[in-house]
Amino acid sequence: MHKILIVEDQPDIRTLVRVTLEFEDFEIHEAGDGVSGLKLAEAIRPDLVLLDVMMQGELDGYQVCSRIKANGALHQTKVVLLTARGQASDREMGRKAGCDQYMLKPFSPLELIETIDQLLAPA
Amino acid sequence: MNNTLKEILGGMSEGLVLVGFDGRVRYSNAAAERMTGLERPQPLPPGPLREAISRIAQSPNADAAEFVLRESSASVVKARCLPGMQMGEAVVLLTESRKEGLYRQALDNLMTVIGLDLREPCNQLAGSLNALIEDQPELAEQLEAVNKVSELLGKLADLGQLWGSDGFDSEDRIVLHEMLAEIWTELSPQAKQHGVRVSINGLNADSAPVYGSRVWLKRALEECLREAIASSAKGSNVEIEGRQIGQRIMLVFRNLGFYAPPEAGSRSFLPVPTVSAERRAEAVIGLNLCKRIVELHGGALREECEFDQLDFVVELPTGAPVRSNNSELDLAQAKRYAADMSRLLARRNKAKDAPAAG
Repeated sequence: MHKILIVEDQPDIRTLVRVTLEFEDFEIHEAGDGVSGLKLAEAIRPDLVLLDVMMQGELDGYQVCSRIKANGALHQTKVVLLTARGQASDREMGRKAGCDQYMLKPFSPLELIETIDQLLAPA
Repeated sequence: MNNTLKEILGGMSEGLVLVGFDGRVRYSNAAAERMTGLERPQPLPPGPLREAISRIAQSPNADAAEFVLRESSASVVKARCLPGMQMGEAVVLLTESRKEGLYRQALDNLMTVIGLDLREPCNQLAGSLNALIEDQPELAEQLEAVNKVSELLGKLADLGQLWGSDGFDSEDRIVLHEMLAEIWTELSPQAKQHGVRVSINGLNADSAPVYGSRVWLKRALEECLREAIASSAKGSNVEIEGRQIGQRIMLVFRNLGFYAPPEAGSRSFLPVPTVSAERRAEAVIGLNLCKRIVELHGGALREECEFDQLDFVVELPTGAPVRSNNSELDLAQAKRYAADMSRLLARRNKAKDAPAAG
């Protein structure tokens, strides 16, 4: 079973993402801010991280993404940035941070599941 | 009245007055005294309050009477008179509301005068002087003075604009060390002219970002550095130190004083006085502008003065601001979810059926 980590500071959105993922067989983990999300990622080594960009606290989504991608132990972890920031410069920042996919909020749950399936499909 | 009740009533933000049917004040709490000046055992002056008490005295079952007790250009005090809990007594409840609309209108008018009637002619004068300066270098002093007035008027106009605002719409991602580097590039000629060295420490690309208005936050930090340079003695050193403290970042604009070789003692910098009363008066507007900008980002700005040393300390929350449009996003997200629900269920059922069919 694939492990998915949701890092999102808004509890309502986190719940919606979790409910969406429960339509499939995933092992789901959750964190409410960047620092605890990064720690959890290092501890559980998820297959995929769904990461909010703008979170309160010391690390935002771009920073968490960069650190996951810079961590050799997490080289197989895919990162999907899930954010309301849709400017070209925001997407460019996501690309620089190394994200595998950039999705805009409000997101389509169906598209989210399809994106996850594509990213986790065996190469 | 027992002491506990007195303490409870005394701490109320609304005014409360107990008046005997003889028209004498038996009790008034601090808020009521502030709003009306009525104190025990003062008799009520003739007027609507006294008349309302008389009506209650004549018919204790009468409905509560409500009226405007006092009105000034800044506030309105409303009174509500009810029969008291004891015989022969009435209760007066007082509420005070500020005339925010009037303040706002007055402020807007003032800002229009500052922007159009004062700043604009000032800018035009500066432009004219600038055109003449090459042929008449003796006008340099006047040009500098006009520029200063124009700058001050600009700060006042900005402050007025921000005063009534309760936040910024922008959610720019701001990396502070990059912003400070930009500001330093712009202010380095001023620092050089003033003979002040500036160092930026403790911040790097990994420092937590701040979300807010890039334009306004830059304006505030630029003002802090400009003021730190301007209030430093020639030859002294200004340090901008960044520190992450939990979910906040602290920027300290500090005057270190003169550099002294190590043999001068254990300290490598000797403090010099930085606070000039004349300069401070000029800087007040700029400082208030900075404070307002920082507050609108959820932070705080304070001055710390020790041994004649003046530090500006800016504290900002890092990461996303508390969102005001959460409900809009939640609603839009719920709609997307509802739209996809049937297809999600169909997808799950298909997945369940697939192994059985095989």
